[in-house]
Amino acid sequence: MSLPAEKKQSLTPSELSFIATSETVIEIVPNFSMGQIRLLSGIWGPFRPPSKSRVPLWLALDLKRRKRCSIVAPEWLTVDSLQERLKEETSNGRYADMPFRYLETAKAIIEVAGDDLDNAALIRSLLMDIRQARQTKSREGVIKMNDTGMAMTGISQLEINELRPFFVESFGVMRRLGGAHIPATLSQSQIPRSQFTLDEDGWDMS
Amino acid sequence: MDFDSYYSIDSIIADNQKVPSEFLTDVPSLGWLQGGLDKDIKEGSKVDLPYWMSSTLALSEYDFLNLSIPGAFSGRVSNALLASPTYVKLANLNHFWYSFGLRISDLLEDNAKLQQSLRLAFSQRLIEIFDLGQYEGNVEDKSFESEFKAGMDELEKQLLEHCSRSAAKHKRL
Repeated sequence: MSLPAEKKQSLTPSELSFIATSETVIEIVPNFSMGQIRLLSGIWGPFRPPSKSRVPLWLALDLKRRKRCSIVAPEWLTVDSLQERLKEETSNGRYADMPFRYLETAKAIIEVAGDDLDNAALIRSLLMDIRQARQTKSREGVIKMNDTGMAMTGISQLEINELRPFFVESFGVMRRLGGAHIPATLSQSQIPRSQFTLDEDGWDMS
Repeated sequence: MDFDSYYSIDSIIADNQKVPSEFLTDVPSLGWLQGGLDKDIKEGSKVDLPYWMSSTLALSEYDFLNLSIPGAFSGRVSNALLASPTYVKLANLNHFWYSFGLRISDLLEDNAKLQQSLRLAFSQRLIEIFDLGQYEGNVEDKSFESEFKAGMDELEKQLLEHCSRSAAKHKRL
C-alpha cells in the first residue's frame, strides 16, 4: 500500500541488474589458487590458474574489481555473434534469440570488465543497435494490441519490465471497453504484417 | 485505471459529468437546479444533470426524466473518429471521455455504436500515446505531437505518464 505507484507496477532496472548478477553464471580465469568454496548458491571452484572456473556473475565482478581474475566473455557477447544477431534482428520480424537478461549482464560486464572484452566500444554500440531494433518490434506489438492476448516470443527481461506498466493498463482499458475488434477495413489495411499475426481467438499461433 | 472503483477520484468526477435531461413531471421547490429564479421545475423543462442523479432518476420505476446523449458522444463525433481517430480532441469533448462514455453506454439500449467508437478511439490512439511516451521530442512532426497532447483525455494522460516514466527509467543501457 505504501509503495509509490511506479514500484508497485514493475521492478526497477537496478533490481533487475541485481537479479541478473546473482542468477547468471559466467567463466573466469582466476589469478590465485584456492579450493572449492561453498556459497548459498552452490559449490564453486576450485580455482587453479590458468584453467577457467565457473562462478556467479556477482562473484566474478567482485573478483575482477579486486584484480583477482579476468572475465571470459560469454559466447554471445562478442563482436561477431552480436553482428550476426543484429542482422537477424533487422531482417526478421521476430525477436532474435538473445539471453533473457542480456542487457543487464552485458551492462555489468562492460562496466567492470571492459578491458577483458575485444573492442568493448563496438560491442556497446552493437548492443544499442540491437536494442533499438527490438524496440521497433515492441512498437508493432502496441499497434496489434487487442483485449484477448498477445505473444511476444523472445522478449527479454528488461524489455518486458519497460513495457509492463503501459501494457498492463492498456489491456485493462481494452478489457473494460469490451475488446478492440474494430472492423477489418480500418485496422488491417494500413498496418504492416509482422510476427504478431493473430488468429480468430486473438492468439499468436505463428 | 479504475473505471468504477469506489475510491477512484477519476471515477467520482466521471460520475459528475452532465447529461442533458428533460423532466417528465413537475418537481416543486427544485427550480434552483436550472440556475434560474423559478421555484419549481416544470414538466418539459431541460436541465443538465450530473450522471449519478440523472441515471438514478431515469432508471427508476417512475418516469421522471428523458435523457439525451451528451454532445461528446453524438454522431458527429463518432464520424470524426471514424475519419481520423488521432485528430479528434477528446479533452475538448470531455476530460473523462472514456469513463463517461462507458457510463452512457450502460444507459443506452442500443449501445453497440457508442462502444464501437470508444474502442476504435482507444485502439487507434494507443500507438500515438506509446510513441509520445517513448520518443517524445524525437519526432519530426512536432506540431502534431503537441496538438495530440492537448487533446488527450485524463485516462490517456495517465497512460502516457506511465509510459514515459518507464521509458526514462530504462533508457540507460
